[in-house]
Amino acid sequence: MTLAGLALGNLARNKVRTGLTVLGMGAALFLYCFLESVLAGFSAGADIANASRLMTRNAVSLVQPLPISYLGKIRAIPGVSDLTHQSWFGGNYEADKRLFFAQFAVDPESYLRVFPDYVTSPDEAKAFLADRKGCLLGARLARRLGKRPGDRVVITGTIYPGAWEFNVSGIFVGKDSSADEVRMLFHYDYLNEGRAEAAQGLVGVFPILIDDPGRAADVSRAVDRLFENSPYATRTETERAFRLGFVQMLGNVALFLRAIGAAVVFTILLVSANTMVMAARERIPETGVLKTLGFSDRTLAALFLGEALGLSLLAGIVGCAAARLSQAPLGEALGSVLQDFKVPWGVMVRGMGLALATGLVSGIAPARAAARLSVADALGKA
Amino acid sequence: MIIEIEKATKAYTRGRQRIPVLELLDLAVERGEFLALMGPSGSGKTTLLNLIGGIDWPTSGRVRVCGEEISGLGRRALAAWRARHVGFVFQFYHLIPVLTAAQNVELPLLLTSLGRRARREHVAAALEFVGLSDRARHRPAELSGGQQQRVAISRALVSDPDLILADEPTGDLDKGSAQEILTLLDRLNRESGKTILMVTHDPHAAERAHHVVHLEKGVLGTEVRR
Repeated sequence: MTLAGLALGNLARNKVRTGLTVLGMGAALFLYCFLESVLAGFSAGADIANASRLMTRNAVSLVQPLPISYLGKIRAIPGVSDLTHQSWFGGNYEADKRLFFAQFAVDPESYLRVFPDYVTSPDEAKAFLADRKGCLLGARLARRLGKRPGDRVVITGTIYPGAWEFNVSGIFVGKDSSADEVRMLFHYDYLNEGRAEAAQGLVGVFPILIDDPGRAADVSRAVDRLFENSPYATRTETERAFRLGFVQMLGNVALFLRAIGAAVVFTILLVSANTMVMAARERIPETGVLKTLGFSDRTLAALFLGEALGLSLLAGIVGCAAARLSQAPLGEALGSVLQDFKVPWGVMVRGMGLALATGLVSGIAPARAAARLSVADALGKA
Repeated sequence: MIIEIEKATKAYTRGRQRIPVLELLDLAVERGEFLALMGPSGSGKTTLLNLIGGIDWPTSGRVRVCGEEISGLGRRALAAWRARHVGFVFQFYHLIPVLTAAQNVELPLLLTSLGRRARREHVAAALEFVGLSDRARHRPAELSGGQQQRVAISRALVSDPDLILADEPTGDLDKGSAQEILTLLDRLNRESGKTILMVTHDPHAAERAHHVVHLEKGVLGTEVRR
């Protein structure tokens, strides 16, 4: 037997209480890991942004369009090596309207050049380029829709009315696991011809490839200066800043999730502290006996702290492991909100750290009480 | 002398009221003695035992035990001193319920530098002395009162202390078990030379001691030599 064994052995005294405490704390830590992972998922897009890519959009807002004629003018700016355009379609999947995913009308050839992150086979890329009604589906999206090359997809337009039919030309996968595989790409020409005349010739965003990421600010300024006095003034920023803009739009949601997270942490602390205080009270006579045997105040304080840490460690393992193991089903459930939900190792480490910190804090009061306990008083309560 | 107490006074204050428990008490106990301390409830027996065992301090006076003036030691030093010199036996055994008999006996040894193997040997010897080798893996709830008290005695002697303080060690036991415990204490005194100070209400238990001192209202009274 060791002192650590003694501390942990105390957890086995009241198995039901310890079990319920571990489950309670574990559930709270599971929730914490889940919320943190959602927040991490929101900002993950910014982390995978390409430093060589700029995004030019309408200076007024993202929903305002830009003329496609800007394409040639931007291409002429020094430092720009390539560019493309993409337009938000915003339709509903006809077979299941609850299944939300992004659809973009793009110029297929230049888009695949500017976004080499999306990888498809040469045959499928060729088929996509050749078919005006063709589309590429992200691998995760294709799995969710149950579609394969050659299948048909019907999208009901919400901005551009009507039932739009597409042929699945191919499936693309992300170059790495964090790439967006829940989007659909189709021909801009198909959209442009099918929509109202007033909307023709307009696009949403120009993704721009630049020669030197170090000159991103100069190139951005040059693009915006070019159109500053036009009816369609632009705002150009790095892809990272562009993506972070979406995260900032979720500002209140993030704050709300963080508030829930804080409440969760407070709950963990209360649950753990309650258990430890009860344990310390029950063991006052025993603490006195250990003192008569020669256990010092510090050793007894360390025993209670060790017990609290052991309890929180168990809860941390239960909560974090549950979060990690639920990653796949939660990812499926959140698929339309978060493209690639994961419980990152960093979140789990923070969860364990939080568990240990709350264990430590909750153990302080009983540890101090045990250390200060007078032996004569403790034995008097025996 | 293993215990030397000079003009020790112990008083508690409740509000403005001073409640004296021990009054200018003098006591000297020789090494190897088996002393019984008797007296009515509230006479200060346990308080005196606490002073000798270094778990309380006198209000005034000197308490010298095992060659050290413990009345001047701080909490930390006293804890270390207790671990080295004193073994305690309580009326209600006070074993840790989640530990086995052997683990309970091992507790004082966790504070020493002994390795696991040496600790195991010491525990085995201590349990053998009280005749409970076959109960080493039992938890307190699986033992009778007498057996639990024997485990408590084993715990008190495992670190080889100079002095064993027993507070009503037979107070919760039937007659047969009480006799076994008293025999064990007697053996400890005779065979191992341990000094034993036993607080008891029971005159039959006190008969096993070499000397009996009476305490009344905080003052030591008559001493009976056997």
